[in-house]
Amino acid sequence: MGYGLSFLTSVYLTWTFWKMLGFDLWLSIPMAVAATGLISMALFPVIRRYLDAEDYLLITLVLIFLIGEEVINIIYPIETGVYLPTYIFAETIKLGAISITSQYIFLSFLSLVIFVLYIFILKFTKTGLIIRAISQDLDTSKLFGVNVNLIYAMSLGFAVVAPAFLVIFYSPLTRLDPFMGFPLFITALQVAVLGGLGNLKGTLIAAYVIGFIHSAVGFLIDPRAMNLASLIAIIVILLIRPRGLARAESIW
Amino acid sequence: MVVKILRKERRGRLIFEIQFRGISRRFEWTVEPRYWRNPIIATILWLLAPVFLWMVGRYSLISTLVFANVVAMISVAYSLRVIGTGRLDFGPIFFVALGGYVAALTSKWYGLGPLETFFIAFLMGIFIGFLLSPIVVISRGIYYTLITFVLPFVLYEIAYWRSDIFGAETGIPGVPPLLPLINPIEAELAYFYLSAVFVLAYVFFVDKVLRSKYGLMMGVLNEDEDIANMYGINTNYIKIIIYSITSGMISLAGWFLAHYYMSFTGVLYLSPEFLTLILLSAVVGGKGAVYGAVVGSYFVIGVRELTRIFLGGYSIVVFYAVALSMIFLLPEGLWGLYRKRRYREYIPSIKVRRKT
Repeated sequence: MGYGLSFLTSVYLTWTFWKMLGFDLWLSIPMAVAATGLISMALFPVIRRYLDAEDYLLITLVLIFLIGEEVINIIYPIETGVYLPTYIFAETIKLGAISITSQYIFLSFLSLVIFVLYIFILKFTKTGLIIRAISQDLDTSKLFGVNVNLIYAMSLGFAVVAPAFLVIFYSPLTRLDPFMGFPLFITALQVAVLGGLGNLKGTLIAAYVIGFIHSAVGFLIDPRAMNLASLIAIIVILLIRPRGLARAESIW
Repeated sequence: MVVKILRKERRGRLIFEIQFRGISRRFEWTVEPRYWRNPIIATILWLLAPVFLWMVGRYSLISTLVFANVVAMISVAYSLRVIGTGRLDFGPIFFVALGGYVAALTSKWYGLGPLETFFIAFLMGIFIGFLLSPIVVISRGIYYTLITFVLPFVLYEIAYWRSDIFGAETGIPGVPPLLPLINPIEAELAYFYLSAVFVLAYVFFVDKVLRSKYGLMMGVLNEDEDIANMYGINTNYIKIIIYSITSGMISLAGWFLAHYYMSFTGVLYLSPEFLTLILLSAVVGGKGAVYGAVVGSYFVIGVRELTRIFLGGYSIVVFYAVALSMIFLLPEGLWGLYRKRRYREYIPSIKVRRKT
């Protein structure tokens, strides 16, 4: 629920490091991403406190998100004109009748590279094995001597680094404002829930399903009905497959 | 005159001793919800509050109390929903907007008055709740929470997509007023008492339900749905009925808002900020506590109003920070604090299910 904050913190911290503190833009990016990961890890005590009380946990995270959003709005209101010139490719490519900004193609490849990296870490490293073990059975993991708290905190940081990094390169293609986190979070939530929470294969399929629905409805019916169509599709699919497209909590 | 408060001699009782020129008198005060004295005093103070505000000239605060009552209506119905379905629901605002849109559109299109729209909004809430109730049977745990969280955004997107019908951010104007009163102060007072009647009716109804055999079944369902099924309780029946009825109850809050403001801007009530108000009211009041939902609503709306008056631009941050502190420091809620003095299980308590 507090995930939307990571988009905001990475963008606005990059701006802070770059414009306010005078660092180089390309140095500000990893600093902001690292800071976002650390902020996420710093929230671990709150999450640990409410691990067995999901209602408190979700409400607390929503509140933290709303507080973060408002604090950013106070420091950098829309009038500040926050803008990150993180174009890697600025030109537009024509593919038949379609024109597409090169940055989108770059972002797609970058996303896939990061996705593969995450699969590799989760499937083929010892840390990934431990994360999967905790996901399967917390108590058994403890019996095997896993430092559950450390892994939880690491996972929290690990989970926000990729979106924090990608949103910085996405920012030149969208309008930056302190309230941009929630719509991005809703899209991420749609994908995660539709795919099956914790399953990367399902998430990948769901991302393409949502993307296809957005494109098809936006192109064929009405661009204003894009989100509505994907939301309805998610609810219908979840009624048929209550745990999403893929089996949840099985990574792949 | 010396007023001495002696220590409690028995649990749940405060004993005051007043000494004046050698004469001493003792007064006993029972701090116990099952005795009617405290609830009656609290209710009288609550009902006199707008009169007091009217006397001191703070008219604008009366509308805050009306809004607190509307939030209390939603929170009480929401508490029943959470208890009766055994699931954490993030979608009550969907039905607020539904009720409001139904009232506003039927008024606009067919020229219906508040009484007609009352029944239509209530029945439509129940009907849509019934249509959506398979969610409560099929989904569990975090999936249910997230589906219900997504549900209001469907209506949100529809409101923007068909802004010619739903008005999007401009809303639907021209909804007839609930009460035909010209004087604005008299109207505010009347609205307060009308909304208070709704809150009392909701509390009475939910209290009766929870004390009935169905309340007991809901308690079992909350503890463990599989065990409830093993005992022969038709859990699906209970969940569908509760989901549908509470949908109708929450829709009436939307109906009230549409006629109270004489226009309805649904997207305002479909926002995460409004959802947070409802969730906070239920949690700050005391999880699953019906009376606590009313207390929590007043606390949440009161703090929000105070921060708005005194803190200006920082009000929202401070309000959320206070709410966060309340959850952190007082997890049992305000009602729980009261109950903790002398624990008794009056109604089934909530246990959020972790099965997915």
